[in-house]
Amino acid sequence: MISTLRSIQRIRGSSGANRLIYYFKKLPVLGKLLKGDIYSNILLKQVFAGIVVVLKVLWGFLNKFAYLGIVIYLPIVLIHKELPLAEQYALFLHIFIILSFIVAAVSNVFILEPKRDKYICVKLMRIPAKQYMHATLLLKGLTFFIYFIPALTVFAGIFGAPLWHGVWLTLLLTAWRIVTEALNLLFFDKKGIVLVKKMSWVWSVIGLGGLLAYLPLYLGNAIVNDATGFSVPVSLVIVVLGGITAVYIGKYPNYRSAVDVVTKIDDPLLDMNRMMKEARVAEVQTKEKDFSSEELKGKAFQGKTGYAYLNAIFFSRHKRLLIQPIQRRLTIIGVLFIVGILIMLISPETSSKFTTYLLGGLPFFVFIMNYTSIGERVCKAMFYNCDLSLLRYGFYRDQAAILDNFKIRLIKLSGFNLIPAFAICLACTLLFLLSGADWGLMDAVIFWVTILCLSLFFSVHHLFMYYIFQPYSTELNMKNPFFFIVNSIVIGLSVACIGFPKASSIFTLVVLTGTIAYMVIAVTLVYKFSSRTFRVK
Amino acid sequence: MQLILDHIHKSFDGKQVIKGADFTFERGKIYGLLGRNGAGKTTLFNCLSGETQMDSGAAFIGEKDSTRQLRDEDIGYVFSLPILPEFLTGYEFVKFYMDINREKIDPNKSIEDYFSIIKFEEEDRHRLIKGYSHGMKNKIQMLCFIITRPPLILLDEPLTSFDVVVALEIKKLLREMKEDHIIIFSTHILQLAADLCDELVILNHGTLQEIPRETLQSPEFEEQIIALLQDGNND
Repeated sequence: MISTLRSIQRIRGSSGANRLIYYFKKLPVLGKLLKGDIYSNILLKQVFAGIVVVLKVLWGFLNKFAYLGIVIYLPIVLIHKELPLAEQYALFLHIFIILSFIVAAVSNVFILEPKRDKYICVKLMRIPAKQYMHATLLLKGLTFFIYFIPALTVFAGIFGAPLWHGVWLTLLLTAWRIVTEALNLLFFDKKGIVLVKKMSWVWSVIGLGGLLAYLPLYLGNAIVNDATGFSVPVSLVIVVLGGITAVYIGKYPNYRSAVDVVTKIDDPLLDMNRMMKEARVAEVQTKEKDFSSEELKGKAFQGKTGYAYLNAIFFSRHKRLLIQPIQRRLTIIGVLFIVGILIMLISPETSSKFTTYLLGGLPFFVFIMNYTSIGERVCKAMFYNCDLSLLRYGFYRDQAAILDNFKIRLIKLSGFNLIPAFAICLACTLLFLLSGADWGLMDAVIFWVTILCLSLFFSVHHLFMYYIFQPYSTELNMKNPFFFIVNSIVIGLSVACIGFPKASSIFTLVVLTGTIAYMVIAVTLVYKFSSRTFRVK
Repeated sequence: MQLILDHIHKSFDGKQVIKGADFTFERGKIYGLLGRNGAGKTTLFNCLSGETQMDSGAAFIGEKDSTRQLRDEDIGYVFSLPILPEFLTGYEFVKFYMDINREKIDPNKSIEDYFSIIKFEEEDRHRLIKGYSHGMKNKIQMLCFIITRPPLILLDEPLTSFDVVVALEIKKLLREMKEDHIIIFSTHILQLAADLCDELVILNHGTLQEIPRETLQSPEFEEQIIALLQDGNND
């Protein structure tokens, strides 16, 4: 068993070290220090593997503190600070018992957990399944026990409970989780069903358990308290059951099939990265069944040629991606407008306060308009569905072609963004007029010009960022640090605008000149550099 | 017309892949670029097509009495994994491609003519490229250079994905076209190279090496090539 454990640890150590090196190399400046041959440098890799082990152990302890602290302790002290410590402790025990003894026992199983490590060790490295499971189970059981003790004793101490409570509770939890592991295994053995893969079951337990766990916070007193949690008969039963089921787990003969059933190569649970990648891609993808064969014959686009033709088809085939967010924005604006009207009817006083705030709060719209723009989403869709493939053709990277394309897209995108901008203008104008606030024609002009300018500004901004920094990789995760930096600066500026103290007209002037200047600069930069920067990286 | 490669270098992450490739390719010939997996065939093609920047060196097009830099538009590149915008139908992509290259194409040919050259079924033309098979996508890519007839045609492992009938059609097509073009054809399948190509060039140790024409016909051809390629193993 020890030698199996050692080889498993060696495999985990190497892959952990490789991963650490991989991410280290991605760091902007430090990453350059490591050369390409680092993966073959045994000594350095051992150092990295050591670091990984230390980090893992630290994480093991911290993780329990974080769980108990954030998920259980924090809500209790936030809501029921006034309760005596003993009652707070009862609440703590209640939430802990429901979450750790019931919910986690269903959602967080170990033996039947789909896991890459299992696939690598048993399927690829051919460690016998039984040996692998015995070794990892022993390690898991011990570390589970050890990692929980300090956190539980500390939190028991905080609530003024005796310290042995922490140790005892950990022991009970470990024994109980052995029992539930055995139950999961038994169920699989008899019925051939892996419960943890039944998402409806797992999520129902999580939902219901969550509700039950936090209900006493609302009611103010715990259902489960230390009397039930620590009573001698209950404890004894749990420990004895734990012992019996541990023997069952130890003697279980069919680990090979228990491993096989959760290490199918196409199981999405095995590979979180792939799952996330697929989700990101699905967000911007077209579906063939969305279109009829008549639509695909494309009579509608016949009058157009070249890039206009391409973009017309692009925007028509990606309607779902473009119309939906616009609809959502319009709905939000509509709901807010109705709320505004209702407030006006119910409490004119609040309403007038609010209107005054809105009138003086024009700078705040910089922030709002940034989030109203659908530019980023459109750019992502353009990258993944169109540019990713076409950029491999020389003609598409030609400067004139890029500019032609940029122009068409800018007009389209601005058009889309102007729809919610108009809606905002309209809704606010109506609210101002109905509220009877002192709001003349000049104010209206200032308001409309500012909002529409801001809408244009962010249309240009998102497209410009896409053409100059081209931040996306084939998996749609961003990898250009400058994209983040420039974007953060723009968001920072829009936040800073909130503090803009001057009168509205001056602010409008600033926005107007800012927009025009930014547009000129952006178009010039795109004109000059995009043939070099607009690439698949 | 010639394509002249002048000392092209390219390395990734400190590893030299192309180490000073020199060669002159002539019009009217189909060249087989032979190399083992990972020898750098695709890298060399990417450098020529402008897809990746070369570290040093250059490529030129030499006409009778002048030489100029190789440009993007001189090249028709068929990728080993066909890459096409999947939201378009085959018909729409070809129409777009023809629009863009209006001045380069033969005004007497219509889009339907082109589809029939590559024997592309009528009902497939109006389906999204997303649903096309590998071979169909490859045919569309081939159609691109049939339409614009660039002087240099690079084919990265093209025939491997075609069934025997289509492969034969494409072979015929390439032979018909070769008079006006420089065609370079990368592959690691020896028979295909020997069968289709007029000249064989080996990419080994990051440099290009011509195989004498006599070797192509000699009975020990295979052994000689294998020996040359295995040499690269002792890197």
